[in-house]
Amino acid sequence: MIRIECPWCGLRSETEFTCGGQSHIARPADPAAVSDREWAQYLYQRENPKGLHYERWRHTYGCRQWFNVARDTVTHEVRAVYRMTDPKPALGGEGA
Amino acid sequence: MDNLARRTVLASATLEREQFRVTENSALGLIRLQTFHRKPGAVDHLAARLGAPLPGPGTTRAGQDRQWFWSAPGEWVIAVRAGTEDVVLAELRAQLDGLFAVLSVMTDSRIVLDVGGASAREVLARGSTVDFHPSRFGAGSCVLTRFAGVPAMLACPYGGDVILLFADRSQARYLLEWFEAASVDCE
Amino acid sequence: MKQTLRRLPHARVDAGKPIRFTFDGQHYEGLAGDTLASALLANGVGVVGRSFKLHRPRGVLGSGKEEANALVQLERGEYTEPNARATLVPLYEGLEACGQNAWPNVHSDLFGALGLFKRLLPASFYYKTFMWPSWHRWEWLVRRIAGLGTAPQSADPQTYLKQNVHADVVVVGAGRSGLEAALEAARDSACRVLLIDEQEEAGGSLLASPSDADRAWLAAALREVAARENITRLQRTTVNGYYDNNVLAALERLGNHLGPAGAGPVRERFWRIFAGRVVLATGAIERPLVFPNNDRPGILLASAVREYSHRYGLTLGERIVFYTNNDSAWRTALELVEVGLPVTAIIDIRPAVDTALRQRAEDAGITLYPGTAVTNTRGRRGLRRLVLHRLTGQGEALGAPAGTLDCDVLAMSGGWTPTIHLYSQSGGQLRYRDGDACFVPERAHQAVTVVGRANGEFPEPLHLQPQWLTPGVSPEHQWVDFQYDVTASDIQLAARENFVSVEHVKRYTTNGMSVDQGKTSNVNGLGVLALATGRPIPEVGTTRFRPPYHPTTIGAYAGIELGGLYTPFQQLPAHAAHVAAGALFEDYGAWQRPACYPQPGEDEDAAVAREARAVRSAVGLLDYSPLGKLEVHGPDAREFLNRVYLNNIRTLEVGAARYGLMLNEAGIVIDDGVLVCLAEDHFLLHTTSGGASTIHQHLEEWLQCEWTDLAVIVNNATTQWATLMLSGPRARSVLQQLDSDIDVGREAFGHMQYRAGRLLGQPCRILRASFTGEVSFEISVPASCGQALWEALMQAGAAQGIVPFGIETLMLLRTEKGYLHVGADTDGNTMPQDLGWGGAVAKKPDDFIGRRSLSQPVGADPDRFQFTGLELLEPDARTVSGAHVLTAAGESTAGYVTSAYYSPNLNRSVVLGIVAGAREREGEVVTIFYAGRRQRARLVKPGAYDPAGEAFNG
Repeated sequence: MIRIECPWCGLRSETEFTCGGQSHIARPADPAAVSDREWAQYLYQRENPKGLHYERWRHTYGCRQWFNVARDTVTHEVRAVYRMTDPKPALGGEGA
Repeated sequence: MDNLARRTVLASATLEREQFRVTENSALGLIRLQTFHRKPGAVDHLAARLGAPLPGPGTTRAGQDRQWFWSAPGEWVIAVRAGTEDVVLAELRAQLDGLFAVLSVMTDSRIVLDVGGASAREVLARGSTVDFHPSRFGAGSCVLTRFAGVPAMLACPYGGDVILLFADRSQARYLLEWFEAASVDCE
Repeated sequence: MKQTLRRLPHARVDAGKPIRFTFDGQHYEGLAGDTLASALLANGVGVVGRSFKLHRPRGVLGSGKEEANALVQLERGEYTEPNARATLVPLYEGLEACGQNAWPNVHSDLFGALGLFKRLLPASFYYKTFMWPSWHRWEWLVRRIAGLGTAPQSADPQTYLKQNVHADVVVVGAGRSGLEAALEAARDSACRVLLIDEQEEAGGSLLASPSDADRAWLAAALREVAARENITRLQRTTVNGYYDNNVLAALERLGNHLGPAGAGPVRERFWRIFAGRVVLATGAIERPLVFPNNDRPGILLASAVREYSHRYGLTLGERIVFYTNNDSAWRTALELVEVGLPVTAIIDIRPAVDTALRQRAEDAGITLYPGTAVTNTRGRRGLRRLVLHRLTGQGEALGAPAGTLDCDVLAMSGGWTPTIHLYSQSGGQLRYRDGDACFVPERAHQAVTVVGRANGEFPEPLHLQPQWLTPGVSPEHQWVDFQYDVTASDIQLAARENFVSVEHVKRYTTNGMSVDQGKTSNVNGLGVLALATGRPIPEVGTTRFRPPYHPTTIGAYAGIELGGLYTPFQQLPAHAAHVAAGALFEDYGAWQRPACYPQPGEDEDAAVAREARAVRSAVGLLDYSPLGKLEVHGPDAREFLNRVYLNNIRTLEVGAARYGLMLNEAGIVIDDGVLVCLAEDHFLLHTTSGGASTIHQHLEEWLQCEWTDLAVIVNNATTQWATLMLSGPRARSVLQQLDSDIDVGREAFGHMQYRAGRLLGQPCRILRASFTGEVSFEISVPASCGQALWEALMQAGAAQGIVPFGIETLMLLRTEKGYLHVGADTDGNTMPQDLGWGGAVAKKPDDFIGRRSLSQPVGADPDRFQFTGLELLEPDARTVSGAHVLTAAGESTAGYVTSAYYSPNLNRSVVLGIVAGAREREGEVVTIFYAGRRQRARLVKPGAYDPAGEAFNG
């Protein structure tokens, strides 16, 4: 079981959270201006790294807040937890 | 025609065991206060107007005739005497006039259960993975967690083995039945 | 082995407390403190089971969790438990057990003849043989012969609980090392220590020690543990899983030692343990030696003989012989002699042994056979005689015969395997230690330390000389895995067939795959494979251990989440009133809602038809409380909602209501409902019943993750309010009887309007929308007044013929009207243009969630499934939702029926569906296919009832 440090509530079990998949995906500023291909990339194209993965989680059964988690997909180690409005930290060991 | 009567959700059904008990607490009225916490200084402004610090994450704090519970960033639940919600609401509205603060009565949407007895913490640990040991969940603690599969807020305002459980009103019967099954060994 | 209830002094059984039990229908007596295995041995029961594949008679092999042979069917009926290890079943009064995998019983098993065909049943026999013509042809036969115990046929009547616990230090195993670790950790009084041990009492291998010093040490240590307030003990508790983040799972047996009759309210407790640091003091398991017919009853692990002697006070036999490749068995033999057991010989594969040990053994009158191998065993149902050969060199080959040796117990030791299952589960790396021929912990992946024998720290050196199988004799009957009947020849066969990976060999031969998970067979199997493939053991590697370490009762995983508590349920504010009115409840999402209210003699269809007629002709009352009610606050609320809804929200005036559609970013319709502007910065959104929580989360996700600068707060107020739907031509006149400051008159309160005020002294909100097609008031009052409002409206409507109606009736009524139900009449591909909302999209000037996806090529596909009515051509025909609409050629699916009811108001079927290109095909006739039947239907506009839409204004 993964245990995650909610930025507000502290260390909790995975069962209290919802995983929202890859994080740091910017919505095109003007959707009408992007090509069909670019829009499809934004909607569906996701990383599937072996190693470090930046993803967003929500403490659904707690404070209901979304936040970012940098997680190693091999070891399940949570390398960093930071708020949605924080920049992506450089941690090294990005997966391939 | 008579005015509409209010009814408690569990109609005073309780669970009484030697080491464990659950009773519906119908003496509390609940108000929620929210602000736009991402705006810098928003929470401080609120506290300044209220003239008292607001409890931070994981805590509850007693105020004059009311108890404050942290329930999310920029969000608090205020427990008052049932029936006085409108009075407190008007008072808070006046204090917070001009700030972006959302006040809502939520008494009817929640059930409050008083959970007590020597086995209370042990039984609670059957429903949630939060650490309920008195050293981690003592006087002034308040957690939001997944309890018996549903979202709930648990607080220990005064310490000891008296714990308040807040959950959605529609799940009151489910929780009572769950407690009944989960405490079979507490006789 | 002969019957004796007389036990040796020192034994930890209570001679004053005899306990009666039955095995295979025979009555026996044991003593308090016995396990089923020790009691059977005390009674001279040699054969306790039959092997899995060949049905060979088997006796007790070990004394604990490593037991591979003594699997029994414990108790009967609903209490029965298959594959119980007799060595782990504490004896209780009235215990009933049977041997398994035998007919009529383990003593004389008719399938025992299979043993004669060992050569015909090698590894992979089933894979290779039962292929023709198909496995299914043979399955019934194989299933009858194979399998161990019998699964219970009825529900488990016992109660299981789940318990979470946090600890700073968790110590697994309360033998000497574990007790020391726990006491050490507990010196810090702030450190919460959890000490877990799986045996009936703490002490580990100290319980099998005849030494007074050991016993005194144990008693003192336990006193000190008891005195430490910061140590919590879990006895009779097996840690079965070690997961990420130092989360452990354990099973505590609370009532098992008392049997079905004496157990308390809870049988077992499943523990989920959150540990800061873990100390594994799990000990080591002795390995068997691999030699021909090493599975004969009477051949036990040396450690088991030691434990039966010192802990249970059993003599076991009249001539006990040891067979070993290391020093530990010598020490055991000498201990046994000291308490008076008849140890007659020690056979050691090593040509030379420590002189001191040798001298002591000779002094004890033990005959020694150094450099000797056991090459066969004899005896019909129990061991009678050993056949010996000399070994040459360091045991590589067989030399001259060395005669035979009579004995009735053979105590064997092939070395020790540290119990590193949990360590391996935790992700820790192992290292093979040549000297002791075992795997030991190398590098931990989590905060875990391994201590004592589990870490390969043996109290005295073993001087071990590995012998993975006996050379010079057929490997055919040299058992490696006793439980699954895997022999050395099976592993060699796998190697010959080019299975190289140890994981593949394990599965091909099933070595280590039985319920004991290879506790005694794993390392021996690796050794045989290493020899067969000419590789050293570290290169062969070991298989990865996975939870559970020991079989876990399924009931314990379920806990109390059974029956009514299987999943959380929600009840309506007026639940009691619905019960009183005879509601037929069904689950709609988590909500328990009335489907309808059958009267005596009515079935569900009849009740729905009666209720539907009443709503159309008079008035009905529905508990509509799950209708989603979200409140959106803030200076940016309007801007936010304009981005969320397909509809233009900029033009929605304060006090006005508007129907809206919500899409996800892929352009798919996810919700619809009426949106009310309560104030410039305050909106009330109605969502699909049961969808409130999902939509609330959807909105919060956009606010928290994407538009973080919008000052908006969304609250889910659904359960704050009880919402009742009063619907029908007489709805208004019923409502007018209730005191209110809201004028509900026809002119004052029109369709699609909203009012807030007071009703019978309580705050109330009323929305005039209609999902039935009749005049409807959706009245909300605080939830605690819901039941009172229900009663007030039923009373007020009595004279007007009011009836309560349920969800099934509502669904029939809205299907008659052709009203869309998102989730029922839409699927994961439905876009607004499929519902006739393409024009509204075009008119909206602003972007909104999902808009861009609508103009992707997929949005313009002419064969999109679109919402339509379907009129069945045959009079009185019926269909069901889920029926397929076929292509013109009739060969594939081009749509589905999504809602289908028989209308009591129109006396014909009313049907809705989604059909390819339906919006351009109105009037066409299509074929509906369901359960082998075909029907013809015409594509029509949705809404067969009151197409002009006059009723809801009425």
